[in-house]
Amino acid sequence: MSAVLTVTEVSRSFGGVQALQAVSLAVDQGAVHCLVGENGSGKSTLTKIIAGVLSADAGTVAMAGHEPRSGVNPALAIREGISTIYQDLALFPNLTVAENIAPGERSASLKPHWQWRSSAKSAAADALEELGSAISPTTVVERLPTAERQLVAIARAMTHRPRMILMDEPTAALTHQEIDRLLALVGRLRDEHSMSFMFISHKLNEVLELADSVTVLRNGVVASEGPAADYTIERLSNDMTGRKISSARPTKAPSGREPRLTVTGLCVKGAVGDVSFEAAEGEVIGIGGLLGSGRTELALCLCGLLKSSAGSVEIDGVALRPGHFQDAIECGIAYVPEDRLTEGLFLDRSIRDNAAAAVASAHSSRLGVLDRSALHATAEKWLGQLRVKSADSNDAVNTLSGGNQQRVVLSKWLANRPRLLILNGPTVGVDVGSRHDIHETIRRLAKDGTTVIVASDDLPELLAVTHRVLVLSSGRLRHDLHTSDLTVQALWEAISADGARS
Amino acid sequence: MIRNALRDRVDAHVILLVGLLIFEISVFSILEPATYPTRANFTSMTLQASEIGLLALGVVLTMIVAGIDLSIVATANVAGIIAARTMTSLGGSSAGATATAIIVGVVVALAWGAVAGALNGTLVVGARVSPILVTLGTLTLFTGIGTAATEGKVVFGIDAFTWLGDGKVVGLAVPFLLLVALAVLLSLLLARTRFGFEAYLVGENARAAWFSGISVRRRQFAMYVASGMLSAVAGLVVLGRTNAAQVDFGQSFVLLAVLVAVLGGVNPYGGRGSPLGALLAVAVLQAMSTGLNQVLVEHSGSNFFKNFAWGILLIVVLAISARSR
Repeated sequence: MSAVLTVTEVSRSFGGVQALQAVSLAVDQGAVHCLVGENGSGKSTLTKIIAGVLSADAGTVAMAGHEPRSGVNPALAIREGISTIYQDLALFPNLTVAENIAPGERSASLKPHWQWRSSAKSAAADALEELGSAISPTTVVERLPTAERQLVAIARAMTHRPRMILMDEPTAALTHQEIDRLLALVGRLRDEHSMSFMFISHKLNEVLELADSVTVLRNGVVASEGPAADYTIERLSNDMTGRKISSARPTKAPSGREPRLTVTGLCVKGAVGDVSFEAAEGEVIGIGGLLGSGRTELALCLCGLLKSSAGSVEIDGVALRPGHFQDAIECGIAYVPEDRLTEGLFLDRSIRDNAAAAVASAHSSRLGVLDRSALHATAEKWLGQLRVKSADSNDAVNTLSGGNQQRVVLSKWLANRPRLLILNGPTVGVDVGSRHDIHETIRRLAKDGTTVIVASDDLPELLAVTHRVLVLSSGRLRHDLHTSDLTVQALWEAISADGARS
Repeated sequence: MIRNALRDRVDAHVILLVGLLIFEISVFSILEPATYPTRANFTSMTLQASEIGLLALGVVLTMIVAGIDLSIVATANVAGIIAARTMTSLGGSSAGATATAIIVGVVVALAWGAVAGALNGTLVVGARVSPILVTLGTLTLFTGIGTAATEGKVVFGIDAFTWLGDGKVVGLAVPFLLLVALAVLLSLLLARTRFGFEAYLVGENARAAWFSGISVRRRQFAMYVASGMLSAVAGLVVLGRTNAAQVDFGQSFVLLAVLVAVLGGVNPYGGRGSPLGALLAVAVLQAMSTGLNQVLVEHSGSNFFKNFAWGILLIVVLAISARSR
């Protein structure tokens, strides 16, 4: 088989962070290629370079029969036969299905203006029929469920007569049945039309079900590649994370201590239903579950960033007012958000100011006069404890690498001496070394008596740092598993089996 | 070493502005040796710069928290009108009655400024409407209030109050001293207090500030109230200088004040800037505008060249500043 797309030695950096380093891959004619990797591994950057919406610093992207390119030119990529369906689908919600599909229909644009609508309708109907779909072309897109919107996006992509369709996380928002239907459609287009697909995904089981070949990215480089038949879920996760699953385990769970956190019948409208659990002083609890399982919502609700509709959260016997983040902070809860860049950091400010951001009140007089030297001393102390590597803590935080930035975010919260630390995806997009150090920090904090909650979709991480894992699906607490005798395989089965049942 | 130490302490932008100011004064002193480098000219320049400077301080404060206040001039004019009406209606024949009238007038004007700022703050923070739209709206609203109250006519104040506009202390114009004092005070507040530290963080990234437990809304609200009160001070200064208040006074000052704030190193996206920078920027603008006026009088110049030159100045300063970052 001949390659339809060839990516050669592509590199790209963002302000000192190397997102991709000499990445090469090839997609065969009439094959499904899966690009997998953790968040921050460079998948999205590579997708954007292939789609022509980002330029490469070095290296080229070439479609068979066309000149290699490296610059920004999405229209050229489409002409060469690459159609890209982004995660948000990029549809116009207020227009009809036909109007959404037609702008890509070349013949429609040649029709006189007054005939555009009717020709668009028939073109859209044809395109949808080809996909075996019965969506009416006159429906307004915002009334369609996600799976059908996705079909509209695919139909639109098809009108370009692409040789390859690039899909970014196509299954993230779909139910299991819808995923099966989508995969069947992709398989049919591959076999009947000899089209090529490139899937970006981190759902490992799907990857293996559909793909002909696989490329695993880790920290911007190709960690492994080969035919899908050579891969097992275990190998994929090993290659994605770059570590053996049997890594360090937490120290034994503390016993006989008073519960620090008591959650009773907690509900969040549309996300979490009737969750109850206790966490002791010095205990590390993981929250696992698929996307949309209520994992993030539960974490946000515990610290008052999301208002609960029923139930209670108590810290050392004191009930928190639902939806009051400031209260939660005063009670000693710290929340480290998922998205470091937009929620955790003040990018243009100094490392020191970032680390000090949450403790200004503790270092000012009653009149509000700030003791800057004390504030900086506290910041430096925690930056040192977390081994943040920088030439000068007066430098802007955006000069640091992802791993060091995440440590700065942690320093900010640890400076507040929390009693309950809630971490959401603590090592997303972080290099292996920093990841190890962050895990080490979590274990040390727990040993010193802090209660830690880790919400994560990184199973080895949950096993490496937690004493117990709460498995959620559809917002319900399905399992409360002790980590000591748990394997990644068993945890994955617990998480995904529940996903299938729902 | 010394260079690095200096760079850490002094912003490159400040150096640029000081350099520009020295350059302007030297050039115009050479071109117009008889009129430019004189005491009378400097006094007149400081006086003219004060009103814009006070208005610009409000813009600086709101821009630090990633907002803007375009209602400054309208707020100032209404403050002047309220103060003039209060003083003339209370002003008696005795010195004591006059003093009371002035104090009450000033307090009422400042209270108006706080209310106007609180309205802006509430709409921006509470209703989450874009600051540009909110303050354009209140600009119109306040102008309407002023027009309704005065039918667009000039309102006169009382003679005793003109000290605020015309008075001198150790040879320096009172409005200028007021501007310098407020700029220094505000810079200290921003640099030395928890409020200031957190306000810059709010401007840099409100979401991250919120996650850090900072009460984002309170910081933003306070800046709008402060901007309203600073505008009221500017309105009082205008009343003192002209002994009159009018609803359509100085409408071009809005954009000038924004210009001064940005020229002074405020980041319009928030998180950066200082009242002292605005003070320097207003000096740079005034030195140039007076100098150009004097040069152009000889060459049958018209006023259009002044705007032209200010535009160039702004672009040049921003370009140099963006490059040095």
